[in-house]
Amino acid sequence: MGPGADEIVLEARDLRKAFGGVRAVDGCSFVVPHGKISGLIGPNGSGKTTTFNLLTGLTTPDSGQVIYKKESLAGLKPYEIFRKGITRTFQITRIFRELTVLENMLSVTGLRVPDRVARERAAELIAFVNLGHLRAEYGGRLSYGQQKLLEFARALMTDPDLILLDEPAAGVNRTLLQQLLEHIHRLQEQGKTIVIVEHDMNVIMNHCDRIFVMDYGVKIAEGPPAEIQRDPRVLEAYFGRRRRPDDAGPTPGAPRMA
Amino acid sequence: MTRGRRRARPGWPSVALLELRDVEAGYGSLQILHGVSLHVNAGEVVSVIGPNGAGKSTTFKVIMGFINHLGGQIVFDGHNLVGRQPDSILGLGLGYVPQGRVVFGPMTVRENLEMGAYLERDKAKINASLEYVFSLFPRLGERRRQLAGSMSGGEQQMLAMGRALMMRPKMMMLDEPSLGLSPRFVDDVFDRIVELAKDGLTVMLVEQNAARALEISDRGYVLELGRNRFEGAGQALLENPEVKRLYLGYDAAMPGPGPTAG
Repeated sequence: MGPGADEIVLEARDLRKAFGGVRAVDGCSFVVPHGKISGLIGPNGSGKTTTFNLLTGLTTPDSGQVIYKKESLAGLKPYEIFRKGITRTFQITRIFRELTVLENMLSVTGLRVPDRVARERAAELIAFVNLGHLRAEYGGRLSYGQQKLLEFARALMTDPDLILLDEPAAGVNRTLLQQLLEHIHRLQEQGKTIVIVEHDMNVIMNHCDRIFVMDYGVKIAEGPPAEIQRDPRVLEAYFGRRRRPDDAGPTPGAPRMA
Repeated sequence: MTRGRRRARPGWPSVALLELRDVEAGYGSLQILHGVSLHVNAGEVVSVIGPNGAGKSTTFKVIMGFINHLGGQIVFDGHNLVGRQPDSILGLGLGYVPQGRVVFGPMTVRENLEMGAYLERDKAKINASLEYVFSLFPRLGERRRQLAGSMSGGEQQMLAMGRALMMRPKMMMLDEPSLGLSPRFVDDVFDRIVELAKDGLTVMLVEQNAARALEISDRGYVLELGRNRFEGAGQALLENPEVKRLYLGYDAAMPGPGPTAG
């Protein structure tokens, strides 16, 4: 039997990380439910990307723990965490600039499928993110938005259980973004767990089941989108004056593809 | 629609400050622009939108002389830009804010701004420009001694804009100014662009947040695969069903996220 709907796939326990005098993550705890799309939001500099780095082993916490499927990830290297079924994309893209688009896709290790199958899968994913005509181009020649799309496609080359997406909407055309979101919902239907860091409120409010809000390195709020939009602490920290989050809230008939 | 400013009046003789005719450009063997034509009149705000890889950033880079020009004409304020170096183009009064909040991280806010005026030798003019930028962005004035790398994303974007203003350009090109910014900073950035335009600055911007950009624009161009696809008044493009479906991410028939999303 697969994990139940209420099962926790990932837990952050009192994570702390300081860079010099800056306490980027300052006692952050949360649990990521299995099979859901969770959103992580917060002002620029609130510690979201550092949190992702702590979860994936790119940064070692000063204290605190990451528990994945009841097992501590302490001391594991990024590739070891990747092999456990956690994959991610980056806000500042990390593709191989001197490899072609197709080679970038095939650079993923541990595919456990024949080369022919991997190539077919790569071609499908490249076509899905509208990069088919650029498959033989060097990664370094892609625009920022196209590099984001390549990373997204590359993250799906394996069959991960947990997918962490750092600002998937940034620099991506809004129409294509809707297709990416549909795909994310299909992954969810397959039982994957997804965590998204994002500033685009359409993505967060219309597509996430649960939202965590960070400010100054700590979680200041957590709940379903409808609740978060009314939380005064969130309004203060994140949305500022004038533009209320309701402006971009779930709208009747909005393209919700769950 | 609350835009209280409309300089491009139909029927008025318009003076194109910047004009591109059939411009082709690319990187090495990869051609990105296959004949892009557009113009920006003095005092206008013009948006360039389109899907990923349409050639939006490439258009800015070829205007600024950063990449290979393969064909067509680029004229700014009566000067032919083709074959000129970026510093010479900057000296003509065309400012450029690249994508991704590119600031000098290990330098202070003030030093970053001074770098923006590196063509200017007159100390008094540099100081006047500094005061001008601090009056526009008071936050930068408060933080003038802080290292740029330690500032938040929104502040870095303000700094990048302030740096481009140090040469007191006639026109400024902004490549995705809202990229990666949290909602309140997106508001700040767009507010500043509107203020600058009211002060008479001509603005051309590229945005994936196309609805938001068109809201503050007099006109817009839609590029696709390195060619012109649509053009028109900002509001007309916002309401164009095909533009909505193909580029704004919601269907015309659906009450989707709408132009205020994001």
